[in-house]
Amino acid sequence: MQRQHPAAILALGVETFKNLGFAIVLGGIAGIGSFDLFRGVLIIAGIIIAVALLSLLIGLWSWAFFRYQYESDALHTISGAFLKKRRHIKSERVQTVNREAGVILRALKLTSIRIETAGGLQEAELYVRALRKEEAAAIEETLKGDVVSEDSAPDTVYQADTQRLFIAGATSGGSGFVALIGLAVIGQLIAMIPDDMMERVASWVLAGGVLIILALTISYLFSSWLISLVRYLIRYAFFTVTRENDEIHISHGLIVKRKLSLKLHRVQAVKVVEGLIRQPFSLATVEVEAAGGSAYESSQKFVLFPLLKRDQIGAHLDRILPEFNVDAEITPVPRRALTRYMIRGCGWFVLLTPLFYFVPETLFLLVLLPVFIVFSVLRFRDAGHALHDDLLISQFRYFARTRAYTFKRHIQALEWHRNILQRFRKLASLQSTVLSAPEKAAFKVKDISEEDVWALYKWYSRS
Amino acid sequence: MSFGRPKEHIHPDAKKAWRIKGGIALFIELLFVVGYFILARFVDVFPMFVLFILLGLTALAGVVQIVIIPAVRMIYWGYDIREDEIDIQYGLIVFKRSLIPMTKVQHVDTEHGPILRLFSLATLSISTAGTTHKIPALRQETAQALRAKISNLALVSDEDV
Repeated sequence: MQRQHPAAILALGVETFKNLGFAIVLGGIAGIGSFDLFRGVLIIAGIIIAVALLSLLIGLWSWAFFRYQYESDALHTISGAFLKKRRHIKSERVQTVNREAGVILRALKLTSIRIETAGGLQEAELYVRALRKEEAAAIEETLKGDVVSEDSAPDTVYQADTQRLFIAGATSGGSGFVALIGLAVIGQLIAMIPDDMMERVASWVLAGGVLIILALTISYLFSSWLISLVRYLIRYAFFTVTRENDEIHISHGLIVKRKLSLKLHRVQAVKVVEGLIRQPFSLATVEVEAAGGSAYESSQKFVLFPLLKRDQIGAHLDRILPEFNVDAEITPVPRRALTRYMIRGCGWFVLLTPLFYFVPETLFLLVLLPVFIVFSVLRFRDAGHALHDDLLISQFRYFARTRAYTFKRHIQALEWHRNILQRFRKLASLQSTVLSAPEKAAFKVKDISEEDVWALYKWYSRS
Repeated sequence: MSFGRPKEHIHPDAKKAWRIKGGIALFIELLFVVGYFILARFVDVFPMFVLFILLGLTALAGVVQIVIIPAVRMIYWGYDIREDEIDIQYGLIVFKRSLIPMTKVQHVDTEHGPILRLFSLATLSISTAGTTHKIPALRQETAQALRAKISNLALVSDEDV
């Protein structure tokens, strides 16, 4: 039995600090806003140090009481200080082996390894936080048994070059998220700035008038976009997909290196997602819904190809999942569904009428109406489905246009919903549910015509 | 109906069970009306005439809950358990139809609350890996038999997940 490399203490310490510290520090900043600046900084620094020490202590504790050992076909672990917990994982039950290495681990030529077995939904069955790279490779080799053989060299299917990555990051649409987080942080910081300073800044901004405010807004939006681009580049740098027999390996990351493996038979659905900014350039992202796996995996989302020209998707799918490379004409929802899409997307504006009546100043909200109308029309135009032998293709849009491909044998249940208004127009909404880590994914197409629903029913029915 | 209705109906006693449930709901609603009455009696801000509106609404709700909803539900509930799939439909205002292949069924449970037990009825609950489907108010023996039947059928056909 052996312990992990001592770097595991640091690794868990940092992880705990990130989970714990962030919340505490944010809370601290919010609470301390009322004190003066100097004392505030002092108290925050104190909190950070205390949390850091506590995190390291937790790291030390779990390192001291975790030992592991591997044999030809099994891995044994013992963990826990008072209640000793023993685990044995046999190679034939191993579902996936994932490796991930952050900055600290990579500097020391170490890596972490995560081993998932079938049915482990909640947490990774086994997680060794720090061990030598060669050792990790050896464990992976032994656990996979004879699957890893030399008969076929790994075949590189997709590699994101710098240009492609850059475009993908620039069009990822993550800047809205960054802008919101930024606003929250700025809101907290403003509370800490002394009042007289605040007044001076405010008077300066107001003196500059609309132009200054416009310039500030634009530069704020631009910097959020830049931050989201950098975040994307760091996360998805060196994105590579390789295929080895019946397994695909996805690896990416500049600072934290991630390596995900996925057995092809776990794939339940393929999703082609065209974001709002990407669609005009006929660019798309391809994602995969996979059964089994853990909550950790689902939080990672199986991005298969971060960015592809629409017409290249087929060729790329051919090399991994050829059965999903199907070109079928989407049957759009009938014209009479447009009214329903409009009501769904804009109907709630009617509810605002009393507000407009009593507070006329809010009438400017009507400026938003065209945006909602455009979205409703887009959602209507893009909704549809197609059948191709045993393959069901559902197409729908919320913001991004999504096309989901799934086989009859992978659909857990097919359901139709119809409210009384849809009944009058002879429409119904279709929902297909497939397995996806950690639980399920449902694809919904609203307002399909009744004849098509009936055809889908017959298609799915086995009797 | 747009497509053929599943041929099995649920047990007629379900109507009685739903009526009792509607009655209980009516009782709770009445409690609120009484609460408002007490409030209006002692606090001037709450006008008395609202009480009559509330009473009228409660009476209407009572008719809907006890008479109309159970009857309509009864008409639209249907299910069919075939060799290799389960077909369930219900609802007038919100209609739903589900088709579940036998191969996807993970487990089947029967459950019965106090009201259903009064009429020796049970609810059959069918779970796949991602969804749960219920058939309410079957005769307890029927539910047991169906549970056994579905477990057997689900065992026989074992495709990959």
